[in-house]
This record gives sequence, C-alpha cells and structure tokens, in this order.
Amino acid sequence: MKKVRLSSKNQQSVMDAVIEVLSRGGLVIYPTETCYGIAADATNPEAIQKLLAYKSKRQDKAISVAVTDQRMAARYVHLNKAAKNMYQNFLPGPITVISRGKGKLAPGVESSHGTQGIRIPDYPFVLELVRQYGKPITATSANVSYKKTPYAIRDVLDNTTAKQQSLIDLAIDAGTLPKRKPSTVVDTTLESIYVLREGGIPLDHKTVFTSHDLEDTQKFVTFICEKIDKYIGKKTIVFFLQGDLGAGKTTFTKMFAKKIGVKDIVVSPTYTICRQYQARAHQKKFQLVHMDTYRFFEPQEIDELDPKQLFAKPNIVVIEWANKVYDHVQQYVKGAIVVKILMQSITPEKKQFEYAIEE
Amino acid sequence: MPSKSKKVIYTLGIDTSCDDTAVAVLKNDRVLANVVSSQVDTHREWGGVVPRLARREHEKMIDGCIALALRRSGVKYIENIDVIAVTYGPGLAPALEVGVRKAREMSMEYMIPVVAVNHMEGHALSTLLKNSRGVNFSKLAKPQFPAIAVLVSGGHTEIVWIEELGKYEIIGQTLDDAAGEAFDKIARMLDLGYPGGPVLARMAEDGDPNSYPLPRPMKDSQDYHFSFSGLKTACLYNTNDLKKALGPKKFSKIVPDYCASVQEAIVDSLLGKVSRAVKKKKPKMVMFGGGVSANNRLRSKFRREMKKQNIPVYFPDKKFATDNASMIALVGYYKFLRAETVECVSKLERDPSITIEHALKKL
Repeated sequence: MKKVRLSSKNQQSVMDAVIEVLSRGGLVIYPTETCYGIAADATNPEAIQKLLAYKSKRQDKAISVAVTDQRMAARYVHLNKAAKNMYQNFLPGPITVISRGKGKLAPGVESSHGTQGIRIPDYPFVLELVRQYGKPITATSANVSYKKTPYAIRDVLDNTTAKQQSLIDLAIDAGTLPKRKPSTVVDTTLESIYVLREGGIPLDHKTVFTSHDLEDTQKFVTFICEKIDKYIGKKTIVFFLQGDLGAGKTTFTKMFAKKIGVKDIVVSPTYTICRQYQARAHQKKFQLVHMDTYRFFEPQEIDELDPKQLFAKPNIVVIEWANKVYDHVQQYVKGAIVVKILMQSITPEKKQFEYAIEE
Repeated sequence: MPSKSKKVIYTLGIDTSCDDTAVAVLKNDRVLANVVSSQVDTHREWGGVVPRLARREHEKMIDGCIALALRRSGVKYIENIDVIAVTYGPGLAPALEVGVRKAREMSMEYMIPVVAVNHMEGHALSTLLKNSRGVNFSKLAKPQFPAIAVLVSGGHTEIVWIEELGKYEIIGQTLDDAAGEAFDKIARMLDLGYPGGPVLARMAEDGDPNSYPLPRPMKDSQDYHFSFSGLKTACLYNTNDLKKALGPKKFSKIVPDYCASVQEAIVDSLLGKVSRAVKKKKPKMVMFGGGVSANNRLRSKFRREMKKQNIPVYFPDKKFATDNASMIALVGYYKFLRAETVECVSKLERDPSITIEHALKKL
C-alpha cells in the first residue's frame, strides 16, 4: 500500500494517481466530509470483488456510491419526486439517498432488493475526482466490517490484518478528520410504489358520502355497520381503505372498532404493520385485524404474515393503503364480505368517502 | 433453576420483533456483544432501512448474528451461556416466530433455560445497561423506584409507571400515531422520503423552532395520553399551502425551519404530558427508551425541565435506544435471578399483541 499526504499543492497529481489505480481495478482510501472512505470503480466487477474481500463478512449488504450530480445519478438509478427533491435542494451533503437501481453497476453494489444508495460528498477533492474519472466510485467507509469508523488513516491500519492491507493500493492521507456524524439515509423507494399504483382499487357501484366533521364520520361508520351487521361474527369481512396521509383511515378504524366491541385503544399500525384486537359482537368473539401496507415494498410481503389465520372466519380485517395489495389478496378474500372505501380530505375537517359493499 | 452460588451469569439475548435481527451477549448486566443486523457494518451501508418484514430475512440473518455475538463477546461457545432471553412479543407475529423458534431449538439441544421477554420491558430498562467494565452507559448509578419510563419509538408512545422491577402500569399512551411515526409521516409530506424521521431531525438542527406555529395536540387534556394525528393533518394542509404559495425552490429553503417547528411541536407534546405525570405521581426518576429518545432536542428539553422539577432523567445510549437485544438480555438476566424461566420450553409461543403490563405473566 502506497501512502500519499494530500496538501493544497499536490491535489492534481494525487488525483492522477488515484485515477490510475481506479482504472486498473484497484482500491483507494480517501477522505470525505464524514470519514475515510474506500474507493473502487463501482462499474468494474473485479474491483468490487476486491472491495468485498477487503470488507469481509458483509453478507448481502449494499454499497453506496459517490457521484457528482443529479444527472450522473440518473444514469444509475430511477429518480422519483422525493429523490429529485433531495438532489436539487439538499446535496451535496452528508445524506445518502436510496433509489431503485437500474442494474448498471457491478454485481454486489446494489442491494439484494435492487436498491442503490447514492452520495454527493460535500468535499471538493472527491467531487473533482469523480468528475475527472467520469464513473461512480464506491463511498463505503474504509473500516472493515464491524470495526470502528475511521477518522484517520491510522484507524484503518490499526484494525486491519496485513492481508487486508495488501488489497489496498493507495491511501490518501488528509490528516485526522473532524468527527462528523455519519451520513443520514433517506429512502425514497416507498414513494415510487405509491405513485406507481395511484390507480388504486376499482369501485364499480360506488356511493358518495360527504363528512363535514367527526360527528358525520361517526354517522358514516354507524351506517356501514348497519349494512354489514348480519355478517358480523359469521363471515370474514374485509375493509379496503384507500386514501393519502391524513385522509382519516385510522380514525375510521378507531370508530369502527368501538362499534364491534374492541376494548383496547386502536392505534396506527403503520410501523408495526399489523395489529390484532379482541372484538365481541352478537355474543361472538373474533379478531379485528388492523393492517397498514404503507411500508410494503411488494404486495407479496403479506404472504409472510400468515394470511390464512388473519383472514380466518369470522375475523374482520381492515387494510389501510389497500391499493398496494388489492390484487394480490384476492386469493385470500374469496367468500368474504368486501367493503371498499376511498377516502379523500377536502379541507382539514371535510372528508369525502366513496364506498362500495360487495356481499 | 438458577443456582444461587453462581455469581456470573452469561445471557444470550435474541430479538426479532420487527425489521432487525438482534443478538447480544451479557455478563450479568454488562454488555459483551451487541449485534444488530442492519448496523453490523457502520454507516453508509444499509440493508435494514428498507423495511423487510419478511420472515426469510430474519431466518437468513439469525445464525450469523448469534455466531458473531458469541465470538465478539469472547464467550465463544453456546455451551458457556447460562440462559437464553428471547422476545416473545409485542411485534410482528412471523418475525417473532423466528427468534422464539431459535431459542426453543437451542434450549433443547444444549439444555439451556429460556426466559421469555416482553420487548417493551426491554426498552423500559435500557438505561440500566452497563459496558463490559461495569460502567453504566447512561450514567445511572443506582436505579430508584417507583420510576416513570417514557417509551417513544416508531410504533409506541407510552408513559409507564414502574412500581418496582417487573411491575408495570401504562398510565398514558398515544391514541393514534406514535411520536416516531409522526416524524416519519410529516417528513414524507416535506418530500424527505420515508421513513424520514432522522433526516427531519437533522434538517431541524439548522432551523428556527419558532418559525411556524403548529398545534400541541392534547395539551389541555387532564390525562397522560398523546395524540399526533391532529398535528399530522395540520402539517398536511400547511405544507400544501406553503408549497403552492412559495414554489418548490423557495419551499426547500424553509424546510429546515419547518422541520425545527415540527420537532418542537412533537417534543413539546411529549414534555407536557410527562411533566404532568411527574408532578402528580412523583416518581424517583424518569428513564427513556425507544428510537425517538435518541433525538437531541428531546433530550435537552427534558433535561432542562426535569432539572427544574428536581427529578433525575436518564436516556439510553443511542445504540440501545433503537431495537436491540442487549436490553432483552438484561431483562432476561433479572428474570433469571427471580427464577422466572419458562417451565415448558417446547410450549413457548410468540404473543404479538401483549403490552408491557403483561410482563409478569407466568409462562
């Protein structure tokens, strides 16, 4: 391993040396605004293999890469609205933006789910290096797996074996870096699914109910309850709720839960994905299953939740963000009573519910 | 039954309640190894950030995480472990199942007793963890009870009255969204991705918390409950109006101020209710747990307020604020000392819907 001290005078000659190493598939330790990173040509499969050998025991973790700007990023990942917002307004900076990859980087760079993290470091030397090299370089920290974050070249050397060090071709020493927090990860991939499936659930014979306040919403809940009353405790009843943040999906479910004898406080299931409550109506005990698929990456994830048990007779299942899984769960709702509700917020108080009941 | 003469207990903790596979090894209440699948490599690598509730992910990770924790702890062999502590709820059923099954298998193969741990009890006691030299991570020298635990995360927001170790009562909780969820959802309205809580907090560092007046929900209610859906709705309309009025470029300039205002509203809501509970119930200390307790603004505002009330307040080390298995092993260790091991391991089942009040349940 060759070590070069970076100064204000030798920037270009150091850069030339780095480019030479990168273009023949070598590894370089380099400074960034957060800590020392390790660079390999992210499009070169052999260079990535070498990097993975250096890091060791990474299982299937992905590697983020550094680019110069949004245009360069767009060559390797799909940029949606949330991602563009980050690029245009908050980068360069200590933020890693995750998007859906285009599969154009070397194997092992993208995550096993096909996502890719991108950085635009706020460090002029690195930006200029990537610009001159013309290809993305890896922006993973230079420590081997499970060892501490390196803020000096010494931190790397103290925690690596001679064998690991032999894989490094060049180390750019910029002294001890200020101890800055690691980059914050922003995941923009859930947004794309939301936009993609905006079409949503089909509502053929819909009726529209306008609610001007919570009291109206309560009336709506009572009305729906009356409509399905004869099936409660007898058949599986599935509610498909669709509507954006703040449209009133959880409020509806809370009111409905009270109607069917749920004693516990019903809270948002977004984080936990699925909550189950004991319900009691018409002298029958059953479960209210409250699901939120917002964090689903793909509809098949519901298969992992033991759907047979969730949709068992006579459970009542309420699914928020139902458009994400609507097609996929059809296999589980055969013979069930289906209630579809499209919720829209007109003003903070006024809501519009379009609904259809399929018996 | 644990033998009374043995002074050193090695506990293996396992937690698979949600997105992360977590394994830890403790020597009594000291952390020897703490492994979390999404953080095994430090920053800029990710893997657990995109939520994968998939059972297969835990199944893929768990053996590697156990082997790594044993190796890092220096305990090396599973035969040296005295007790296995495993989370049996609350959480996602199929995810919990992976950890519980693993504990059952290991217990039967190596004849090691199992303690079933409530995940929320883990968060409640996470400030009691010590490092390998016996120094408490949270500078909490001697726990004093009764205490109040404030549990704030993406899935939970609750105030828990702790009469003594093992005796819990939820005296306040959120009626809709959890605090962490409010952070994440409002971040999405600001086009900061999802979950955007951490980036919202980071942007807030450069903003003025008083620039946008936002509601403090439930401020005047006399109970200890929280609600964040009103704040969420206010932000939804507020941000839409601002986006329209300013246009995208100018809007992005106000994002730090807006983030700071949102953070302030959430922290103030928590502070109001916890202060009320502390004044009325007079605990001997307040201890935090859960991912949101890593928030710096929350910490500084609570430190200031609790100092005024003369009540010591403790926060978990940041790596024990988010989901981890050290806190599970710690609870397991206490339960092992109280001889609360699972009598019939083959019958141990996950229980996804329990609350911290079920922590005493005999298994």
